Amino acid sequence: MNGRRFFARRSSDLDEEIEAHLRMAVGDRVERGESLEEAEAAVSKEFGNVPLVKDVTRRMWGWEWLERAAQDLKYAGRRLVKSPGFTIAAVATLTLGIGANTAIFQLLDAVLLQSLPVRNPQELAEVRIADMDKARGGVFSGYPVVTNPLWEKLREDHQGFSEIAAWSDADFSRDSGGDARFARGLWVSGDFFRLLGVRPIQGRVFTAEDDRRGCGLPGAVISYGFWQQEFGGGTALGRKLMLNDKPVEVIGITPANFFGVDVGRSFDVAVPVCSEPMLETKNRLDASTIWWLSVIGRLDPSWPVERVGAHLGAASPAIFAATLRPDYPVESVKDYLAMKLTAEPSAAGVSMLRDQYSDPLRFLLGISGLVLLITCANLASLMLARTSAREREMAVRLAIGAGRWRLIGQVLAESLLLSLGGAIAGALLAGGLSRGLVGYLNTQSNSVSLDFTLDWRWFAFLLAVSLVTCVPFGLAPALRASRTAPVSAMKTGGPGMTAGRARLGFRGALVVSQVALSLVLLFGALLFTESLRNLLTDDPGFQAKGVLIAGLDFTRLQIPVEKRGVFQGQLLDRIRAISGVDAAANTNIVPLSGAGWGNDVWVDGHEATQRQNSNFSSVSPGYFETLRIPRVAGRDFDDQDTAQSPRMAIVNEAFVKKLGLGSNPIGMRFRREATPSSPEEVNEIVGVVKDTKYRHIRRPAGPIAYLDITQDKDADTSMRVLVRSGLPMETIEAAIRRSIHEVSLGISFDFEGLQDQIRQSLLAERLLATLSGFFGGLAVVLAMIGLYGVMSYTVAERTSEIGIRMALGARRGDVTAMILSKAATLVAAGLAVGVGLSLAAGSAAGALLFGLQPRDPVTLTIAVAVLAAVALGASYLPARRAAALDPIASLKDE
Amino acid sequence: MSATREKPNPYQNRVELLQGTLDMLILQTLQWGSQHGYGISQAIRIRSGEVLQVETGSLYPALHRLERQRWVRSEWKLTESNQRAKYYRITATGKKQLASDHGRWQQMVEAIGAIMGVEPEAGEP
Repeated sequence: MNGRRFFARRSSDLDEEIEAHLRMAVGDRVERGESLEEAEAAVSKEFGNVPLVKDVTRRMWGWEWLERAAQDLKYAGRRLVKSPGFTIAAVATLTLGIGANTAIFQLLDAVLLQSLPVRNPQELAEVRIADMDKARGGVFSGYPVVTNPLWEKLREDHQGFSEIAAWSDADFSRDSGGDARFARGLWVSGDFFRLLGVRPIQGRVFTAEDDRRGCGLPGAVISYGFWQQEFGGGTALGRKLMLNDKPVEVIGITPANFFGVDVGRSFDVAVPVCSEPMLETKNRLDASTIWWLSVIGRLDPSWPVERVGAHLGAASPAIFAATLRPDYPVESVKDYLAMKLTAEPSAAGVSMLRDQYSDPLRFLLGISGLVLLITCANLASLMLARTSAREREMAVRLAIGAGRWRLIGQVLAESLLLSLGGAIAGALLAGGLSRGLVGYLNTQSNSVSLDFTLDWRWFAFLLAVSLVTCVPFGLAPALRASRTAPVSAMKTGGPGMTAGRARLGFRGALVVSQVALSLVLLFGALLFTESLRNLLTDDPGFQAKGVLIAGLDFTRLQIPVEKRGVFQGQLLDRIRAISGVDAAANTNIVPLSGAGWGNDVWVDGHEATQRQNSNFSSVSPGYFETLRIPRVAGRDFDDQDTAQSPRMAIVNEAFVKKLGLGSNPIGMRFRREATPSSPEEVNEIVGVVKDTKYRHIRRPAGPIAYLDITQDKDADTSMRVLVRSGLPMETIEAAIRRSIHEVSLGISFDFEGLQDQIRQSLLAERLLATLSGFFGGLAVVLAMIGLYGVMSYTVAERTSEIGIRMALGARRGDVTAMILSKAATLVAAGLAVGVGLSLAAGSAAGALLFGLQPRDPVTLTIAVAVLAAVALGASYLPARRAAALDPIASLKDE
Repeated sequence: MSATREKPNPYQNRVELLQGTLDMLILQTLQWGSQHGYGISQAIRIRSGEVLQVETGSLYPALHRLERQRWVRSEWKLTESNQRAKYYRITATGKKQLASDHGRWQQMVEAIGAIMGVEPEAGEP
């Protein structure tokens, strides 16, 4: 039953009981001959104070405290409604502080703190190679990986692990030509699901029997999300999925909470490692130069991870010796045999997102923590001002007999209502903000899926933050007010002449700390914004604007390797022929996309002394024109250069300088080391171009050697074409679609703007700049509200003093100056502390900045100037109000 | 808890009830059958020969407290003059409580009587 209704019913019961009593008493007296009036008067006198009797009786019910608490809350609520300015300011302050903090915490939690949703994640460990830079060949993952021969060896003998499994990311093509569509795939070893303790909700998961060499296509296990999206949650088992044009049968579905082991990237389809030769054009199973499988194991209870790591290290020589295959480059075999394996804990899984964002996220958490401090300071001074104003009222109530605890209870009720309101609104805001943040991180090329279900840690954090913010600051003034002797409070509590200096001192200290903290945040925001601007406006040496990247995949057409180069040329010519296309070229490395290729080079005959590392890129003729990279000397590649003629190269100025080729390098030759796919070769320099950035905009331009893509002997079945055009991207995309369709319906394609791609590579920086800017602005606004509040309070408190001064001849200007100088003192103190803190914080942010010093004096000066100006603006209003006081009226007030 | 309140007493012949005795008097009164609050106060007044006047400000809190302790139970019934009134009835535990209260009261009266009954001269030869 509803407690309140029960209470109300009992109350009316009591009313009726007492009414009956009175009626019977009156009735008796009337019977004895008294008149009705006399009788009523006598009974009333005899009975005494009816409400008091009721009150005393109600107390016997034993839930008086509940009634009181309800009353306190009701009273507090009514008072909050009566002062909407204060309520809105306080709740908004809390909402912003709590909401922002929670959103960041939630993201941090999802990315950094949560364990994998699998059985006993703390027992998981990953196997990694301690010195991966020795490895040669192709690395096909951002995570620690091994080759398939190494994995098979580890599977055979995994002392220290009770179970061991391997996995790798893959994108499986789901289209049959036209616009490309992919399923996010996982290669998994047979024991993968068993090791993680993932049970299927339908069908079955793989076993070791499924994952044997030559298994063909034993089936696919799909994720819950993919099941919903692709099959609408209907019958999926037994149905065939087309993956890379091969039909694969669905044999099982994993539960909704299982996303794989890569936090931030969920999977659609998992297939066994042994299916690789069937689904891909290149068989990786026997390659010792293809590093693609991540190995994860469940530790044997008696083996700590350090011991397993040491054991793997000791066993490494034998493991590597047993897995060397003939494809490994001869001169690197020594390095291969010297590599060492080790093991590391892996309870939280792996995450590209985590590697990329953990520093910015930690920094943002720090920033939002500072905002929370400012929030607290703001709230404290709001509560302080409010209770100070009510001190007189409290004193009066104490004097007429109100209980001290009752008063404290009422102030507490008010704090509680405010913090609850703030927490609820903050939670709503946080939900929206987190979704916004994930949306922000979610890009076309990198889809992010994070688990944001409300868990107890998050809720505890939220609740603690709101209570810690509100209750102490509500309680402290209440305690003090209730300790004040009623008489003295009544004497001084009014807007008198003797303003409590010590009290303003505390409020002043709050303002000083607010100003100091907001300076730190403002400085940080300016640093990150400037850093982002530097990155965005940084000249990479080529013009990305107006360039479209068209990815074409003609694997489906099954063109033999020796004819692929010619076919690529034909496709490129078709694109060039489209009207509106100014220039087009294809390349195997799109600049600033994160892809890279590096080899050692040396001038013929100087291998021992001049061996240097250079970046490489295979490009078609027209590449430099397309990207508008100026040529310094020599010529572009042309159609005369074919697979049969000598290998040509165009190098950049940094290359010339690094190899010391002198002023006229045209015609000189350099050697490129042997790679797993090609022998050592000689290249002749036919041109020199200006430097450009290669892999990431943060890294300075280095040496690059461009090779002619038409001279590549192992042309791929996919190509990336850079298209420059003055027309809108959509128009060009449509034209390319049409043109490629005419060649074959089996070619699939996808498009992205080169500039968009570069912008997306700066996502972490942009996130940091946007959010720190938001928080910086928020901090300044909060600090200004605080300052305004304190100055208004000062003016209100000193009304009579100001009145007297003006009556004695002080001019309005003097009054304004007096108030402003008070504000200036506070602000100056805050700025002084803030500068110290900012310099310390700047150093911590150093690694995240680009193109400016972490203690950049100009930025700091701007921050100080902005804050000082805004602060004085905020205190000018109260100062002017003080100057506008009518001395007579202000004294009469007293 | 006392049967009279601290405000000026309008009745000259009123005797203040001893602590705890009101509960006992109420329970004793209810021994003769269920009764409403007004009836209880009248019964105590009449049986005490108009000496004990129970203040309503003590009576109702006491009744509600006794009910919470489950020594009495209440129900709405009609009076002889056909009015609705809340009647209190003593429970089994209430009877036990009354017995123990009674016993203690007896002891108390004897003890006090033993002290008060002694004449000052009696001890002297």
